[in-house]
Amino acid sequence: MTQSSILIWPVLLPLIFGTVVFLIRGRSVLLLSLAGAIGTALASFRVSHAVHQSFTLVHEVGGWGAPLGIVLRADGLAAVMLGLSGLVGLVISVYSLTYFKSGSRKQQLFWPIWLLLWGGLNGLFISGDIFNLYVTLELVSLGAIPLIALAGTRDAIKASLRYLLLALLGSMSYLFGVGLLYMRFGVLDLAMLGNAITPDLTAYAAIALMIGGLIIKSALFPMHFWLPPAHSSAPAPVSAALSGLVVTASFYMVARLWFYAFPALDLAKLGQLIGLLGCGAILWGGWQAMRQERLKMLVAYSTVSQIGYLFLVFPLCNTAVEGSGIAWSGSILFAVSHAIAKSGAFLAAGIFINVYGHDRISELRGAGRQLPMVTFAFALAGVNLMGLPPSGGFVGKWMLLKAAFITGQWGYGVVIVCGGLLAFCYIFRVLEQFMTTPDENAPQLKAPVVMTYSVLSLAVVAVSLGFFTPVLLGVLGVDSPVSLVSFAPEALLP
Amino acid sequence: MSTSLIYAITGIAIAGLGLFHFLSQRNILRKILAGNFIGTGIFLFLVSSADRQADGPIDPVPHALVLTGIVVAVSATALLLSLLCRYHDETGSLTLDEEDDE
Amino acid sequence: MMLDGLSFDLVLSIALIALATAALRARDLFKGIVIFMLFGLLVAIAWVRVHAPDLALAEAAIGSGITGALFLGALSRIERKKQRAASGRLENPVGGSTAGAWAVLLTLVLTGQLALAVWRGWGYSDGLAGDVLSRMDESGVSNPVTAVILNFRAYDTLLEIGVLLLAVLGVYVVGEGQTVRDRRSTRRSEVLETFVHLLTPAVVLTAGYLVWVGYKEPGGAFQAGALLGGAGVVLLLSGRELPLHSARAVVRIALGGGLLAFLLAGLAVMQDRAFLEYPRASAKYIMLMIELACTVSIGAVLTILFAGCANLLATPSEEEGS
Repeated sequence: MTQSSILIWPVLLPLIFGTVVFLIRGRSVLLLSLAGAIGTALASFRVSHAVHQSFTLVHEVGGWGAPLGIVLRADGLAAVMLGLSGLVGLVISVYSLTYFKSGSRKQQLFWPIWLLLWGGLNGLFISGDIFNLYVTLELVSLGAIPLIALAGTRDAIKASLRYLLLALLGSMSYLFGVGLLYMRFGVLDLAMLGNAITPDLTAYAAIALMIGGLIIKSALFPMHFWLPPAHSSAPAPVSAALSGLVVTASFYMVARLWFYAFPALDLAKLGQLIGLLGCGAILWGGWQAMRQERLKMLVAYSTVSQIGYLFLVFPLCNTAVEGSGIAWSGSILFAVSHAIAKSGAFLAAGIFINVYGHDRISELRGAGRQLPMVTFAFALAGVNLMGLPPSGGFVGKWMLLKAAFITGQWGYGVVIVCGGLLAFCYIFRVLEQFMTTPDENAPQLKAPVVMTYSVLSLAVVAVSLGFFTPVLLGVLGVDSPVSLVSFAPEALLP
Repeated sequence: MSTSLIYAITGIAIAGLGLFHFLSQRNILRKILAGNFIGTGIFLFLVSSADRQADGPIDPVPHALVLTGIVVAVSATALLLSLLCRYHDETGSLTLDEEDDE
Repeated sequence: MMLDGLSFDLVLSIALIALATAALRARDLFKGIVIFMLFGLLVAIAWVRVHAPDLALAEAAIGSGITGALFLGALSRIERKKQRAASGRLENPVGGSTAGAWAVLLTLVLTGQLALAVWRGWGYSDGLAGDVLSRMDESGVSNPVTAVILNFRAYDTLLEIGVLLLAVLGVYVVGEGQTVRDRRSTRRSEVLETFVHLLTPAVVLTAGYLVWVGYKEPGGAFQAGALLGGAGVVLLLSGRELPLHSARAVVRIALGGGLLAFLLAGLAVMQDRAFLEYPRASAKYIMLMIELACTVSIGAVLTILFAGCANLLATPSEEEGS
């Protein structure tokens, strides 16, 4: 087995275990699922570690190599994403052990779908081929939608129907773009395409189709409307996976194409357009989050808002401007911390629903006294979403803000700050409810132990992510498309 | 004008027709049907592009891509249709705005 | 001769566009779906014209046949509850409204731009035809499309089998555990019975042949699997009871076996090579084994996808909850 073989395991393990837990029945389903989840997470961490220690790992599936075969690549960006999916995926799996009723139909269906979806995500992160990216993206979409429908409610069915219709449109658009690029440049390998591509009508049409399709899938404003009902009506661990990983994966694909396959093209205008949509997302999502009555809807609209920040990297990171590489590291850092915090928030909301039987914010008064641990975890995740130090959300936002100043695009800076204020308002509104105690003698309620501690672990990681910034940037720096500013605390100051 | 270019352009026209109906029809069954026309149009374009060199060999790669695409399309269609049937069972509606079709 | 070919292509293209329009604008959705299936058959002819016989087979079987059956199954299930007239209301967006006019304009501009992009970018690159052909002798098969699907880009195909499995799991999520009160008992006709009796072994034989022949000529697991799926659909339509539920182990093995075999085969060769890097000498046999397992799985998946759309997964009795 060659050294680069470790690259394939984060994809293979969940696929194998996912298939096996579909084939078998009985008590061993849970055991094997857990084994698969731990194995997948470890395999992902191992790849991230190996990339951090040395350099980009390359695995030529089938031994053919590009352009004939498919090449898997784990550079710094992919390694960060793999680590993220390993962490979040593992916590979601542990949480799900007790979330679904033991031996129920839902539990039996959840595990194979979730493991296959997870394998698709990991495959997406390490794929080095634009068509293989399409297949992995389909694996992710067709895994996500059944998981939403698993909730079984009318809202969930409707939301998954709407989501799948749009996802289908998005992936068709992407596929069309792949076809155009292949027709014109004759390769599917991402790196070779990056070298071959030239600015002409065909290339720009393909880019518009691919990025347009992915924008639908990543729910960037104004294509966000499918997201809140889908993410809020799904079972809690599924909401966490969707908001934490699935949305991040589509953003990752846009970033991957933009900075690795299309660097030879002048995309400044498109970048500004996407930036504008990002601003719309930040403000509209934040505003809507403030007006929600239900906790999960609030968290889902917060996702709409935070997706906007991610997409600011396209106008802000301009390779021509010295130092704007800080936008690149900022947005990836932001993506990581958002994924962790948002999964934590959804998992916490799941516990509230589990205990109280509903998630109406106005009726969750006193939760802070009754479920202190869960409330604490939600608050920690909230700190991240608001962007307070020392959370990863703070560092990421600050880096984006700095990039806005460096490139002289002050408008984005204003929106970034306003979005932070909105986040402060909607998170604080929830926490205020939790902290008021209408009844001094309200009994302490029992929260499910495994679920509570898995949420808490995510929230703690999210809030302390700021301290790990140098490590993350170290990994991200491996074969980075832009020169990263070496991280020192002073680098954060304006 | 060659055979393959004619079919490539036809494919794009069919995809366009499909897109228009996908966007303008509210009946979900019609939307799914339109989605299948978009898909077939794109596949037609892709397959024709494999034959773009008049006297060169046929490129088998787009053929493989389209085979994958067809399978993905049938999977998504089946999932959409069964979701739609369940939705219809529960709401009696065939559009996503339930009120006016109840 | 050349002119004749081109005028045939032009006529076929116009027919395709006309059929697409007719299907999309049909007032009666049933008619629209039938036209869609007819359209699929004509597309298959177009694909023969551009030298893609493998795909012509796949399109006729999956794109037109199975997809059409899925639509018809869903439509008949919906119409059991609704009058036909109500089930497929056709919007007329072009009729005077400005939004409709914008939509038409937008689609036209987009389509025009894309056609222009294709026109301008046409014929620049040879693609990978040369690379594929120069390494065909290493692939273990002599049909280039099979070589790409099962060897050069086998990883895509593996993930695609995963997509099929997910679709079936999704159909189980949506369709199983529901109850249905008025399962219409399909009337059994003797002619159909005899036909089905004769059909089944013939289909299985033909599917096996398609897998085998795929190494040299058009054919392969997807076409063969589609044939099995088609046979499954016919059996279901004839009222035959097939094991469909995920509670049955044999069903799960049929559905998941293809993906598992593919994964294990890829792993088994991984001692000192890459994933899915077959040793040259045994490549052909490994691929054949993968294809046979996948053929069964694809057939089973397509049958159950149809069963899901036609509501055959629901429990017919009164009770039994989630």
